[in-house]
Amino acid sequence: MNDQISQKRRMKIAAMKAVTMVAAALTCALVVFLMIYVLGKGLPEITWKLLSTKRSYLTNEIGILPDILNTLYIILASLVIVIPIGAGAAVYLTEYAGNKKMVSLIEYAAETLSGIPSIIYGLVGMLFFCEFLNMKTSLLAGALTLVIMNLPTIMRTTQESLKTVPESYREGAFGLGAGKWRVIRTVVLPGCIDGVITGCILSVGRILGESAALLFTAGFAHALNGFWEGLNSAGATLTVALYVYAKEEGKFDVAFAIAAILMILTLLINLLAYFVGKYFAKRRSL
Amino acid sequence: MSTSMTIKSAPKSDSPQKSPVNFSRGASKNSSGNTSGKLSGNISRNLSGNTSRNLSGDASGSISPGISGDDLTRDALGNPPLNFREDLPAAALEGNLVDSPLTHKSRKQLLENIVYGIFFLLGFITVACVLLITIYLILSGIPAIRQIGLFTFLFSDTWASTAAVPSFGILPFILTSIYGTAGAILLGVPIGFLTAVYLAKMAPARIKTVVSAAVSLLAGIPSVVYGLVGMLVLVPGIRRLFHVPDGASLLAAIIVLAIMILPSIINVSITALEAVPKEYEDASLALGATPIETYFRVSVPAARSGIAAAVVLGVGRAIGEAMAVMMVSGNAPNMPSLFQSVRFLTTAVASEMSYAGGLQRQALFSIALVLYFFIMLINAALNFFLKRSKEE
Repeated sequence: MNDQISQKRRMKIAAMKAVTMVAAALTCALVVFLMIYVLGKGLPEITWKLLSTKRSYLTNEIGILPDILNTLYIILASLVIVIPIGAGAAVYLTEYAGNKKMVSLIEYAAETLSGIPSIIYGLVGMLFFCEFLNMKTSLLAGALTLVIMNLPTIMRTTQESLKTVPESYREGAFGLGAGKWRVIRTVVLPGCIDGVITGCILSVGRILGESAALLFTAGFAHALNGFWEGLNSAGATLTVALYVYAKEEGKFDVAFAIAAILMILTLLINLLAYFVGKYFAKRRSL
Repeated sequence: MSTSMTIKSAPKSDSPQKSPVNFSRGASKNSSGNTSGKLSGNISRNLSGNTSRNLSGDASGSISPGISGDDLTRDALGNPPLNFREDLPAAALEGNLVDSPLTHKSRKQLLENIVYGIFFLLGFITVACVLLITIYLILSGIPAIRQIGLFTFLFSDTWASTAAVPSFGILPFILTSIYGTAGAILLGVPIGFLTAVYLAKMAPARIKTVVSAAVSLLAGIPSVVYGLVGMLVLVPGIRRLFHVPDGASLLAAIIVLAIMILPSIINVSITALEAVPKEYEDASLALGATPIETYFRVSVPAARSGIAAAVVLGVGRAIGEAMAVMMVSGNAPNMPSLFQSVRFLTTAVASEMSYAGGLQRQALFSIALVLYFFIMLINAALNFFLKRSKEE
């Protein structure tokens, strides 16, 4: 077959093949470079002391324990609030809403939300939660802002998993005499666990990496607090702390240590998402 | 079933007319286009103690609140007659016959109504959030624009918010955002698009898995990490390479943005390319085109709407990014120039918000409103392309 192809055409094909492979190689090289550079510079900076103490202005030593805890608090608080709302909205869309206009309105709203940049969330979060609802700059205000941001994610993943619940299950339950709510409780909700878990993993990744929305809602204090106390006081998450240390204070060693931690966590979340997705796909095909 | 059937207490029926409609809505949606589903829905309602008046297995699957309409449809379909319940074996109706059916029915309907209301509210929260954001931005963004004047605000080229005689012109920010985004697209789209073609069509399975994992890792890396690496690699690199006094510039921001939008472009393009019908490619191959010619001449044009959507999504991501850009762009309110320190719409908001007050603060909200306006335009474009891509 190759004999019939002209020299010029063959060159063109080779060129096209080459550019695609170069592009793909470039993408990979970029990821590898970022990983090696950040981990190489950050891992040596991570010490037990850094991880287990809080910042002391007296001894001028930096510890990131409060930032780690703040990140955990904010993830926990956001998920606890966003899961029922997101999953509930998905159930409404797939099980209840018969009105096509209502469905498309809600879906359009979700798409709009996922397109809004995080700095705008931060601004509105500051105006609404911190000032209008008088929460001050606090982790709770930050968490609530993140709830709005992650709502579309949880909604979409839950909706997708609800679509995989076979119609015959619902019909069977209806046929046995169950009411609508009973069908949802016993048949539909157990079926959406896959989606909720996937959504949670994605949301955790997003919350972990979020900074612009938290800058003005959660603030950048480094106080060591318990969970409830922490929710009501300002605090920096790891990303915000990274920004402050790198940009405002020029402490690049600490910044790289945090960056390395964030990289490792991102890697773990990606692996988790991959394996969980594979597991669910396998279970579904059984 | 028996547990819920044995509830006997207080009759309460404030909306006996409304609930059947809600009820039927869900059921008819579940079983739309599926007669057996409709039948089971009807039966279930019979069993659960509703009188047949509440039945509404409408053929079209649309909502028809009118009871008479429902009855008509059901008759037309030849569904069970009104006294269907009596025909069932006594065992199946045990609960109903023993209990007072009316009490039980209204109690159960109340529960269904409450549950419906809760789910409706949860569904509506998303819409409420969009409204909240829009209204807040408009309300807080308008005052400064009115005070400064729309034309001066948008088209004056000096931003000196803290000067003795402050001037608020955001043309530099708007142009920087547009140039920066355009640059990121020029740089990022070719690489992302070609990577997507490789991954969707050419890559062996194992390589595809590895590269896809790398791409999703790229998507997950926090923007501040990009900013940090940009600050320490890109900025000094640009300074040395181009012999400029400071590397924190529009160029650095463009490169960081181009890298950050790669994953969105790659993922959406892959989805579009994989959705191209195999028949198209088979036909092209059968006509004598080589596989690679087929991918570029047939698959890519067939997926053009999806690829356009990928580009628009990239535009949205680039124009909305704040933190990474703030760390590498230098942040001076200059008119955009490749090697000069610049400020984007996003970074203009972020960099002054912590200390601003009065008109300056209000002007920042107005900048956010302008940004929001851009985002809404981009969203509309994205929806347009996604819709067309689906139709194709």
